Amino acid sequence: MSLRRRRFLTVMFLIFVLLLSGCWSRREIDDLAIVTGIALDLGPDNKVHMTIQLVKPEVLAKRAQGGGGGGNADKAYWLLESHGLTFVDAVRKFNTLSPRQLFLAHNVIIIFGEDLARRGIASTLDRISRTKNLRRTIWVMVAKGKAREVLEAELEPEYLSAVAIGHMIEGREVYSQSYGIDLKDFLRVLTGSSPNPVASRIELRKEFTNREFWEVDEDGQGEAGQGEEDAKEHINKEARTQGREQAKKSVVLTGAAVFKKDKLMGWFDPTETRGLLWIQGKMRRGIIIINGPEGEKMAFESIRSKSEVVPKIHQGKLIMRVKIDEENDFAEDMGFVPLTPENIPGIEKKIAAAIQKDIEAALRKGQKEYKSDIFGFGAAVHRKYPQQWKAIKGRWEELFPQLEVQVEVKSKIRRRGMSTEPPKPGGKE
Amino acid sequence: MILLVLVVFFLVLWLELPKLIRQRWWWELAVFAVIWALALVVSVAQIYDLPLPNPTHGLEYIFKPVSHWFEEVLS
Amino acid sequence: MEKGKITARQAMLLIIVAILGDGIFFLPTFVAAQAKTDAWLSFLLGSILGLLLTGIIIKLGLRFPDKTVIQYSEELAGTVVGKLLGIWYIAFFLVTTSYLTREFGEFLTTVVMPETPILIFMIFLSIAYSYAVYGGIEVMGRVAEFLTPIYIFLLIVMMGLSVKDMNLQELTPVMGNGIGPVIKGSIPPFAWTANVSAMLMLIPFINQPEQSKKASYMAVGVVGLLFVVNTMQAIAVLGAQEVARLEFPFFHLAATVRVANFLERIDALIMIVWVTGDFIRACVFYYVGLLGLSQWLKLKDYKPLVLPMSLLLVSLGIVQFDSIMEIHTWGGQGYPFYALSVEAGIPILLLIIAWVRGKSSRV
Repeated sequence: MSLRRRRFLTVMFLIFVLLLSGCWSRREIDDLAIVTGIALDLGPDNKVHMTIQLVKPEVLAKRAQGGGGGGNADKAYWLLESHGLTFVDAVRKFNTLSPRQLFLAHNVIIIFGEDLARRGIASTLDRISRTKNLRRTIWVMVAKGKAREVLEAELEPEYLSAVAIGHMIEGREVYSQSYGIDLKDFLRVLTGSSPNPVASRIELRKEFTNREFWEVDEDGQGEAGQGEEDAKEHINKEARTQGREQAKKSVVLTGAAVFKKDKLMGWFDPTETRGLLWIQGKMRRGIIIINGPEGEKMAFESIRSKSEVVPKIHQGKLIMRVKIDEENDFAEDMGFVPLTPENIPGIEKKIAAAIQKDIEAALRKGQKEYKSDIFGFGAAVHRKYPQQWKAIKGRWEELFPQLEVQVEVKSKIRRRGMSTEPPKPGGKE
Repeated sequence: MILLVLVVFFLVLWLELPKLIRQRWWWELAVFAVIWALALVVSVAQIYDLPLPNPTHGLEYIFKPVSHWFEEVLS
Repeated sequence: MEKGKITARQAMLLIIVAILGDGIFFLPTFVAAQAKTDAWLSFLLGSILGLLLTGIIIKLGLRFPDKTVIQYSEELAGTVVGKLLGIWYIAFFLVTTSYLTREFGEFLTTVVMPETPILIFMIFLSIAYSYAVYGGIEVMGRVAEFLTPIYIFLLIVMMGLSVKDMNLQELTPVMGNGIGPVIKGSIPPFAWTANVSAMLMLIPFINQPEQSKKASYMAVGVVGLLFVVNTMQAIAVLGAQEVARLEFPFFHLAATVRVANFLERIDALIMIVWVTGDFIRACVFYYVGLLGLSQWLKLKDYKPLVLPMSLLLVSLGIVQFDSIMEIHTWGGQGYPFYALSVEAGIPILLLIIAWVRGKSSRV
């Protein structure tokens, strides 16, 4: 080793000794407050009120070991609230309230309160997308009412409501009556040529009920039998006597929050949400109930679907064609009508009609009432007719509500699950 | 800060100077000295917030117009 | 002076990372700002232009397989003009090293450690590349042989993982605004792939110079492919407007990876890619610049200059920009033209002179 080399190594060694002993931006786990959920509300003072859910790792660890017994005495989280003129002001203010430093990288959801969402969230989103630790996989949702309350919900068996809601959104595809969108997609839509995003809608359950949260009756025949009423009454009473607190605090995730640009316009109920999912091709699995050949209810589970939105210019007029292809499993038969190759085409038509109804409901509300192009029709025109789009872009707001939309649905029944026929009492003759 | 910078600069001297002198590479030594001095001037000026000529601004002066011209031609 | 030799393969690996290094992080933003959904076409066009330029560079380089551009520019263009061209070339590589050092710090302070003074990152990078350049071309060649495959593997893994998040419809309309924006957007990718002009300094150190032709084409081809795929992905996952808006789109691409709840938050890997890429890129640029300078000044060795020059580059890196906004404005607008004036201008000019004068050191 030459002298020079030895000198060089000496210098390197000294530098490393000096600098490796510690680093500037280090953060130890027990100095951190891990944020799992953020709720943003508009306060009465017109300021952004921000509530965050912070994990108590100690409690989680204790529960994981099974010790300490149940009881709500020690919650696994605590909530902090701060407010400021802007998002960043509110975030930094937490340092005056929390003994630990906020750590945002494990955040799961961000909930906007209805008031704030109606006022517009672009500036808040700007700050969020600049924040380095907030990942873009967090779920964006809007709470009916106050967002803060959602973080206080208790969702057994999870200890952290934000994490539980995250799981609920991930599981939404089994039923497809709610919408889920993460921050990256929300921003992608908001900055695209149809800048009207849709977010999840979440609501705190105020009372214990076994009725559908949304009072929807298929085919308009609202025949809630006397027995059913009684059952509801009974359960309500039970809830009142034993579990009222608990019953009060759960949440329900259905429907969707519809934006126009960055402002909340209103809500979609589950049917409309499903219509929207069909159009956007985001439908995964869903139950379709139709009246069978003999008037009985039949349930099908849509398992696969494809959608295509094709703008067409027909005699100088713009027409949107929505084409949907989907496949079903036969799920449940209330009468005892077996499916045969003869009656299948008719049933398939009924399924298609049921889907069409969903879609029309979504169009009615989105197009006529909210006048918000959440379906991405504008973007579809932009993609197919970029030149013409330039001309109509400025007038799209006026054009969109009058747009003619043709819906074509093709349904197929493919499989029937694990049995061939329903278990008819007494068997088949 | 200024002390730290000086330490670094003299470390570099200590590492390189002896060899240059031993080998009698006077021309190399001269170039070395010029670059070393230049670096020192820039660093010290930076620390004391003295005004410095910025080479990038010079380049900008030449190439910004090219860029603008290009934008106009293609739009 | 340099006595080491590298293989053509090592040169190829060096050039690949020297182009991708910061390009894959910064370029999509510049390009998407111009070409929107067609950014990937801009990258394609830029890479094709890069391949054409590679042809010119290799033609010139192989005319003088035993000399660097600094040495034969005087022979071709006369002492005065040759010297001027030489310093124009050298200055570009040194100035870019200084930008790289700054960028390295900007990325890490923005993304990982905001409280750490940027100077610390810059000093560490400069120590690393000084050490490698001190080692000479052989050391750098071996470093590239070891690191580049890992680097490309990580890139491909990250790209592969975000395939399922792609919305291909975001890539349409194709050329909705005509070809103008595509051409405008192709300038930065062209300027980056044109970094292959570092070969003008490296060819004499390749043990079989003829192979440098294939190596250079391969390098630019691989880079072009990765550029195009990466940009398509960034646009399809994040949306063109978002890519144009984000500071580091590739980082977000990796940060949004989410595979079935068990594989997510792989953005730490991005740090490996960034640090490796910027390190090798800085090595190549620093080496080319420094070796060029010492040949230009007819020094006996470039090594004594390694340390003082790195001090100068770090301090210049601090001085030259006030903020990352300035870096982006310069990097997206003026810099590509500056780069092309060196990387494309010099080889084209010299090749024309060589043709006219019929000069070649080949026997």
